[in-house]
This record gives sequence, structure tokens and C-alpha cells, in this order.
Amino acid sequence: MSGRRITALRHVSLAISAGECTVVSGPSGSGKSTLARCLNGLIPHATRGTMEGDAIIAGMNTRDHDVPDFAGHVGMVFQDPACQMVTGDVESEIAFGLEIRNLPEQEIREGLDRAIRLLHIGHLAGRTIHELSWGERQRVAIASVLAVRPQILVMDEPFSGIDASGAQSLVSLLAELKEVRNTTIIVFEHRTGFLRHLADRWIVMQEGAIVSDEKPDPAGSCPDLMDLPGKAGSRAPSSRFSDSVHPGETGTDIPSVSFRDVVYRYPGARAPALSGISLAFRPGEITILYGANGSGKTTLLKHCNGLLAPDSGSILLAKKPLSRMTVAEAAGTVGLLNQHADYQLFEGTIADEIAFGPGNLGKNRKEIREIVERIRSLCSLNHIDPSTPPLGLSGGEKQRVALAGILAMETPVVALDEPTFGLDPGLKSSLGNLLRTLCSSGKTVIVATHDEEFAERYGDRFIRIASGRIVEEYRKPSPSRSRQDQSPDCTTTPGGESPGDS
Amino acid sequence: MLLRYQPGESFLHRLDPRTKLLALIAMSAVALLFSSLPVLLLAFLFETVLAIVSGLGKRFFRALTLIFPLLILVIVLDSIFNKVSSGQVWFSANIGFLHPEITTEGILFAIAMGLRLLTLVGISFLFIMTTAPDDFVRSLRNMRVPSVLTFSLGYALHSTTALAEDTRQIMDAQRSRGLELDRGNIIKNRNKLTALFLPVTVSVLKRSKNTADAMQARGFRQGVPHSSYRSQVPGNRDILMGAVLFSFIVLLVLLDWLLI
Repeated sequence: MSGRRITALRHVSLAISAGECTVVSGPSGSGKSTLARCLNGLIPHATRGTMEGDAIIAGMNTRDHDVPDFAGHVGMVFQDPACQMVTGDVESEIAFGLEIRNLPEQEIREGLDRAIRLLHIGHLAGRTIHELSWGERQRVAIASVLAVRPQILVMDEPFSGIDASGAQSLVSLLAELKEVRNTTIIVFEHRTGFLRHLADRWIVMQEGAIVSDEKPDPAGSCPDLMDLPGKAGSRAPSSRFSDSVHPGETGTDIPSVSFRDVVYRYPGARAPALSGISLAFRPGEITILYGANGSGKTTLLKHCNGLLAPDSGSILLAKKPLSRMTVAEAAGTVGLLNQHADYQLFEGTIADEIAFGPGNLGKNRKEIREIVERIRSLCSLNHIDPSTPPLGLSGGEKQRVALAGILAMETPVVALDEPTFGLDPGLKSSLGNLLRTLCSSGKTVIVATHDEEFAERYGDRFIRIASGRIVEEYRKPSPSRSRQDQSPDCTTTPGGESPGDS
Repeated sequence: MLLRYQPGESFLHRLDPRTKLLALIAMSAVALLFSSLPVLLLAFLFETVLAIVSGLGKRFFRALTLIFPLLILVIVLDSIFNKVSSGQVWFSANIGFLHPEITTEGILFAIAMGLRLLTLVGISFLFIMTTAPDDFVRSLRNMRVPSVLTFSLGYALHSTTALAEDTRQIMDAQRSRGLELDRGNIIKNRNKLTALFLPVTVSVLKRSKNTADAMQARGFRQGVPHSSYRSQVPGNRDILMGAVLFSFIVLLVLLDWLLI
């Protein structure tokens, strides 16, 4: 909408009746967020660009009424819960919407208590926002929006940052709102499987237009993503893995990263974030770290290149102890892509952005030029001019440039933290294929994610982490190795590595 | 972060923020008005006791180490270039227009100045550590300070944590890309600074835009008064604190008068 002239929405006509639960899906950049912002007047009032046509929400035209006028009617939960917090502690945050209505104290207290009960977040009251996890912040964000009892609830990708159990309780909350309060619910989401039984209406958008609008098929045409990669037996070996490289075939016996009894406690924290992790990552396989929000996945990844140093225990990169290297030195071996990696972009052009890492590693200009070319085609960035400033790109493109910046360092180990965040199914599958390519070229790939579908489709080995411990570890039964791997359903070795692992 | 609100249930934590604001002003006045060593020492000891009573003893001293370099500088400069110089002369020189001189009285005076700094900083640290920013803002609102002002102050106070969080994320990301921040001089390398400064700026701008949208979406309007979900009524605790503070200051005044 800014800079380049883009038509984000094309002739969208839509009527949603009260009490209906509508799910709007579509690929990244299809105009979902733009449509969401039309629903409470943020477009046209708080966004640059021009709007044609009218949006009438709760009987008010968004042209005639400013954003705050809609606040009592439309509750909007934005995608990133961290960016919608306007106060510093949980109770103030939830009370904010009521306080700015200048309601009497008693009434605010009641609304506050009601919202806390509804979201089951009594244990969070009194805590400050910055110590909450993503999932907890989201619950607070929802509570603070629901405290004013809006009749319409709009949510932008609420499922993208939360784990399966969080998603499940969000679904039951939405069901309760729909049944009890008759709230009109509009959810913009990629991961539609969660909403399968709740939605009265599915809308699919593409390139700014509504391409399909239908009642859901009770048989369920959308894939059910709730199917956790839990029990090995439940997942039939599928032909789509047959062409992938299996663990051990290209790998050697030396693990590229190994953890030995690693314990880590954040300063000031009561419980350790990692307690006794022993683990080895080997070349030629994709290891998936999964587990609830706050279980220690990110903490574990940050130990792989020394961003965090263990309180006790040791980490080896190939055979070298990590404790003797600086992060920048370890970056030559482990390429770690952080969560929300688009933050790290700063160079003037995509080419420079990709070249930043290799430059830090001391590659010369000619090598860097070759790497940039290679990585651009590897990450399917060829269609974008390399002299484009990365900050002007769309979310999905930025994510790919950030990934390219990591892959350009050509490290033997690639570790990614929640790489599918905010990606649509199309982009996810191209990311997955890219990871498989890397893996078959002999790299060690580590992915922390709670996107079960993605994990199940592309992972070789699964490690579940809960409260800083490894609670479950198993391999995907692959066609050629199914017999030997499938027999023990899964090896549960708390805090240890499974014996039949190499 | 050493210097930030530490949630707790102690005596100081539970005081009305306005009482604490009063204590902050009173103790700062003490630090600035008195210059005799015993008085300032007592004032600082009083703060130490308050910190220990609130279960913040260790954190209080650790936070004070933040101003250590400044403290040393103040003491050294004040003992060499002092206004009060009497008693035993240990060292004296004339270098151009400078007249450095070390005397017993001068050293005592310098220590008093160090204590003045500690008292001043100490009470502010205690205030920050025991007062939730939102409570403070709410109490200002109760004092009829315009809501735009109080809100901006509150937002500024807690967005420092968000900013620190973002900055750390960005540093982590760039170190993961091989940017050497653990060795060498950051300032010397323009690229190192850009690699941190630019993403931080972008994230600050993005964050403020998002917050503005979120506030509007929740009905924030400029210039409209806000109510509060938790009105603060000064209680016995506040009266006690007021009494203690008053008697302590009277004691200091008497002591100061006796010393002269």
C-alpha cells in the first residue's frame, strides 16, 4: 500500500451475518490482513493508501466513523501479540479497554475478572507482560479484547505462533463465544484444520479477491492438521519420502553438534530452561524439535552456536568444544535462523544482505559473488532483482531473504527457529523441499517448530521437549528402514539419547 | 537487567506510589541540601535499611555498582579539586590555573559527595525497583495529570523492556550471521553499527505503528479522561512511612545543626 502502488483488495463484496463463524484463508499476500484492517476502520483511517467502496460494520460506515468508534463493537486480535500490548502488566492490559471508556471502578473490576475467567488466565494476573511467553501474551491479548464484550471478534492468524494444545484451547474458547455469547467470529488463518468443526463459512482469497466462499463440507475437505506426529504406527510410510535421503546414508558417525548433559538457567529464573540435555545431531537428517511454547526449544537452539552458554555440561561442534569459540566463529559451522528473522535485515540490497554472512566469515569478493548467485536460485529469489532493498519486500519474501542470508554462510549445520511462522502452505512446501535438498547434500538440519503438519511432512527424526527435558524421541519410519526403526514405538529416554540412534 | 521493577509484596512494594514519590523527593532534597558527612551517611544507611526490609538488599547493591565508575570519578575529583580544604595537607601543586590539593578535610568532603550521589541514586533505584510502572502511572492519573501525559509516560516506561528485548534479538541474529561482537571494537567498524542500529530503528518504528493501531482499535482517544480499575487510597502503611520519613528528616536537621 505504500511505496509501490499495489492493489491489495480487488472488488471485495461480502456480507457476514451476526453469530456466524467465518474463516478466511489464502496464500501470504492475498489481502487477508488488508481485509481484516477494513473491519474496524484501520483502513482507511490509520493506513496509507486509498480505499474505494464502503465497509459497513455493526451498522456504521467506516468512512464516517473513526477507529475508536468501532472499539466497542469489533474486537481485533492482531497477529503478533507482543505488538498490541499497550501497558506493562497483565491486569492493566486487560483493564485498558474499560478504563479508557471511563467506566466506574466496580464495573472495570467485573469486566476484568470476567475476561480472566473466560481465558483461564488467573495464574497470569499480577505478572508483567515481558515475562510472558508468546502463547500467554496471546491469551492476554484476547482477554483484553473480550473484556469490552464486542459482538464481533476478528483474529489475524491466531494459530501461527501457538502449539497444538494452545490451539485446542483457543478453538474451545471460540466455540464457547459462538454458542454462549453468539459472537460473530472472523478468523484469518492459514492453518485452517483447527477450525474445521467450528466454521460456518470458508472464504478463500487470492490476489486480493475472494475466489471461493462456501459452507464447509462436513466430510472435511481441508486437511486436519491436529494430527500430531505422535505415534509412529499411525503414520503410514508414504511414497513422497521415497526419493529423500535417509539418515545414515550420507552421514558419518561423527555428530556435527552434540550436547552432553547441558543445563541452563536464565538469570533470575526459578526453574532451569534446559535440564540435562544430551543429544547429537548428525549430517544428512532433518531433526525436528517440538513441544509446547516455552518448553526450551529456542533455548536449545541458541546453545548450538553459543548465543547462550550452558551452566554445566558441554557442547561439541564436530569435535571442537563450543566453549572456546565466539558466536561469530561458531557461525562458520552453525547457521542459526532466529525466530522472526526479518528483523535482522538492514542492507541496502538483497545481494548485500545475502553477502553479509559470507563477508563476516572472511570470504573474498569473487567467492561471495558466486555464493550470492547460487543461494538466490536455491532460495527461489531469482525473480526478484538483487538490487531491491529487502526492507520493502513482503513478509514471506523477507523471511526467504533472511534464510538466504543464513544459507549463504554454507555452514554444515543449519538450525531454524519457527521458520514456517506466517508462511502459507505454498511457501511452506517450498521451504520444506529446500530443507530436503540441503539435507541430501549432507548438511545437518535442525528445525524447532510447533507446526505439526510441516514437521511430519519433512522431518526424519523427532525430539519432543517439555520443561527443558527430552521426553520423547523417535524417527520417521522410512520405506527402506521401517522395519528396524518402527519396532520400538518410540524411545522415551528422559534427558538422554536413545540408544539405537546412530 | 539490574535496574527494573522487581515484583514483590514487601512494605515498600505495597506503599502508595504517591507516598514513594514523596519519599523520593524528600530524600533527594536531603541529599542535595545537606553536605556534612554524618548526615549523608545516615541518609544512605536509611535507604539501605529500606532496601533490606523490602528484601532487595542484594539487588540494591548490585544495581548501585552500575554507578561505580561515576562514584569513583566524583570522589577522586572532589578530593583533588575541592572547595573545602583544611587540615593536614598531603599534596599540593600549581599546574597552570589548576590548583590540585589533597587534604584530610578535602578527602572527607569528597566522601560526603560520594555519599550524596549514592543517596540520590539509591532512593531513585528503590523507587524504580519497588514501583510497578503502571501503578505509578495510575497514581499520576489519580492526581489529575492529563491522560495523554500519563499514558505516554507509562508506555515509555515499559517499552524500554520491549526495546531491550528487540535489541537483544537483533544482536543474536547478527552474531549468528558471523558478526563479531564478542571481540574487537564495535565503534570502529561502521558496518557493525549499521547492522545493529538499522534493524533496531526499523523494529522501533514498526512497534510504535502497531501499538498505535492496537490502541485505536481498542478505543483510545486523545484528551478523553480515563478511569482506573484500582483506585489507590493511602492506608496505615503510608501514614507510617510518612511519619518515619518526617521524623528521620527532623533528626537529620537536628544532627546537622548540632554539628555546626
